[in-house]
Amino acid sequence: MNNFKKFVSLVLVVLIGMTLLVGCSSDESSQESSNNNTDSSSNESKNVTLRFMWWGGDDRHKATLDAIDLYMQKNPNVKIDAEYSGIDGYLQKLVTQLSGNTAADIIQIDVTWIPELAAQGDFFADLSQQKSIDTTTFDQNFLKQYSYLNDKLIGLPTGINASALLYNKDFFAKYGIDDKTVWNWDNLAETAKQVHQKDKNAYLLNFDATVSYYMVKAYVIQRTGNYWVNDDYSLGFDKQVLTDAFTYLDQLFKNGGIQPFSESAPFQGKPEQNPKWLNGELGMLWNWTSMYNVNKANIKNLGIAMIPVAPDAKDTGIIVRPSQLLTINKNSENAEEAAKFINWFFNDPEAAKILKDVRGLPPTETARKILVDNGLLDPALNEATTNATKMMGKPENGISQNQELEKISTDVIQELAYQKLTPEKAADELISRFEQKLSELKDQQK
Amino acid sequence: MNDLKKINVSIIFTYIFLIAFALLMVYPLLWVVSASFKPNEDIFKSLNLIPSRVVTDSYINGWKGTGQYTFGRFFLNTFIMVVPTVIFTVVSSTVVAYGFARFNFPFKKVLFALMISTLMLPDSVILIPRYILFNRFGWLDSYKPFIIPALLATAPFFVFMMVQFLRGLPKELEESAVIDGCNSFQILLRITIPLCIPAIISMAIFQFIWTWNDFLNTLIYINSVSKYTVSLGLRMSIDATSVVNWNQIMAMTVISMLPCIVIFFSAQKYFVEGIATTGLKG
Repeated sequence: MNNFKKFVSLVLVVLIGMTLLVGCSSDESSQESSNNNTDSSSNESKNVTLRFMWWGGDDRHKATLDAIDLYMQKNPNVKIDAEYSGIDGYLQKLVTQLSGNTAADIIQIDVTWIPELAAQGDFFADLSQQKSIDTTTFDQNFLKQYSYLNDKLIGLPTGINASALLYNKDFFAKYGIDDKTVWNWDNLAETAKQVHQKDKNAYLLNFDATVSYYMVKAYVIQRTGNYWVNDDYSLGFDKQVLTDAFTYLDQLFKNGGIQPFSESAPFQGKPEQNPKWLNGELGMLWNWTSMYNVNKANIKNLGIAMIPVAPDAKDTGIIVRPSQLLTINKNSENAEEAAKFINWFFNDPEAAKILKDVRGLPPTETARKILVDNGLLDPALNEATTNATKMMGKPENGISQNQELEKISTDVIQELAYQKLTPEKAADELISRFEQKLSELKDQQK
Repeated sequence: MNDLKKINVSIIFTYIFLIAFALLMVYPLLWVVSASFKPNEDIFKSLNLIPSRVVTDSYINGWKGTGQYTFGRFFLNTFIMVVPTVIFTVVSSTVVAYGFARFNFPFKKVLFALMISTLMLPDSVILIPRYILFNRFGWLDSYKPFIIPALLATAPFFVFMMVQFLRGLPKELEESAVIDGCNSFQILLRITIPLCIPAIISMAIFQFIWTWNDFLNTLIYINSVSKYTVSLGLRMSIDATSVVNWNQIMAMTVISMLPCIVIFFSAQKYFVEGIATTGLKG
């Protein structure tokens, strides 16, 4: 009897499992039909739900959620579902969603992803076609350089981000460096040398391989005035210039201008977390204005300066780019409502006050003015960005930002840093590996 | 006397070595715990385990999260996802393994090879096709992509592990059950499963920890923040250009490790036995 009971219970378990499966599938169809219902009803009463996907930290999440709440109060027919996360896995998720046609209506993307996303399809709506978005408040030149893809305005910049030197004012005071210094390559190398001579534990520059790559690029571009890599996939520099850049970098390593990579290796890719930097034993970090607030949280007396520019530079090599872009999904059923929200997001004074600089220095003059008037913007950051915008070099083209080329370069720079290669050999190595990779990439294009 | 001393010395050295090595292995864990009590700006400045000033608001603020949903919600979500997944995996894998281990049917070898070959398939290869499939089923933004496949024994590793374990059990026990009048289901329930308890427990623990910590799949399938699991919640605020409250993240990491630790230690006896015996042939 007992056996029989167990057998019956097993059968019941299997049955429950089956009903669960069936239940799910019927659930799904009912879900679908309810979706259809809301869709059809939305067209009548104009009740729409928008999905807005972004990444960021706590500050950005809170500010954006507040802005969304305010917008929903003002527009009761619009419901906005916030889908926020950290940067981990964001791109992977986005690519999956775009290929599965399940992406949100409003999507925050990074400028550097555009080539990769464009290679997989045409995903973003042309915002210049949306009449409810007023783009005249933006710097048109800036839009032209970064926000257009195949003559379509695919997104609007959420903020302005520029290359900059972040420096520790206490460090500068300690080693008698004038913090008004306008940096060029010569005084940078000289100061770096002197600092290390005064104190064997101190290094002027907090450089990892990626930062060194920024520097090499800027050095080369200032000499040539070309793109790093041209649009036709040819190199924008010759061996001589690159050798000079590597010699300069090599001297910085040998003179103790840069902390040896053997010590800073654990912080490759995140130099802002290097304990020596946090403890004031490194003076300067070559990075982006968007990193100012992060570093400011740890270093009280943080200053911000222009990257070194040679007096005879053909191009300043200063990169000014959007911190991110806000795009509308091409397949969005409520593109018009999404456009209205985006217009409010960028152009409404109240929105500007709530969103502050959580996505970098605001891209519109009006929003910047509101923040300055209300004391919501760090004056140093504002000034540095404004100066950088005035002096900006020509924007980087897509191929110059290629991640694989960056990987090759940082590999070569590391070999140089560990003295495995002389500057000349490093230049040879980089050029031959670039040429190989570029021809591969070119073939993929065809 | 002399010998005794020698032994003592060698024992002391062994212990010193073991303790030092244990500390080395446990250090990251201790660091996480200590970091959760440090003020945020201290975390990367020193490797010291003792905070310069103990803060506890990291736990409170971390639990509150971004304001919209607390971590309590994420924990509840994770349990809603993990518990059915584990139960269904255990039931389905055991049944399938029993089939492979004890019955002969057409194409058994081919099917077994197919099952093993799915074990070799890298996860990233099937990520997008699986996503598209589940999308067609309308399962996105729910826990169905985790729970329903678990019903169908889609974890080849566990099936394989159970098959190996079952092969190690003497057939004579089951034959005697047949003589006593049991059918194959009764044998499974009354004879085989009780003998498999160690393997079943280790399967449950593995699946619990893996699902609990699963980041990539939850990331892909869950969109709404209200349905986020702990592993998503932990990374929700990590961004290079924002000030990250690492001490809050560490505090939540500590809390999110607790269920795994509790489960592991409460079932440790069976767990170790399970691993130790699955490799043995009878």
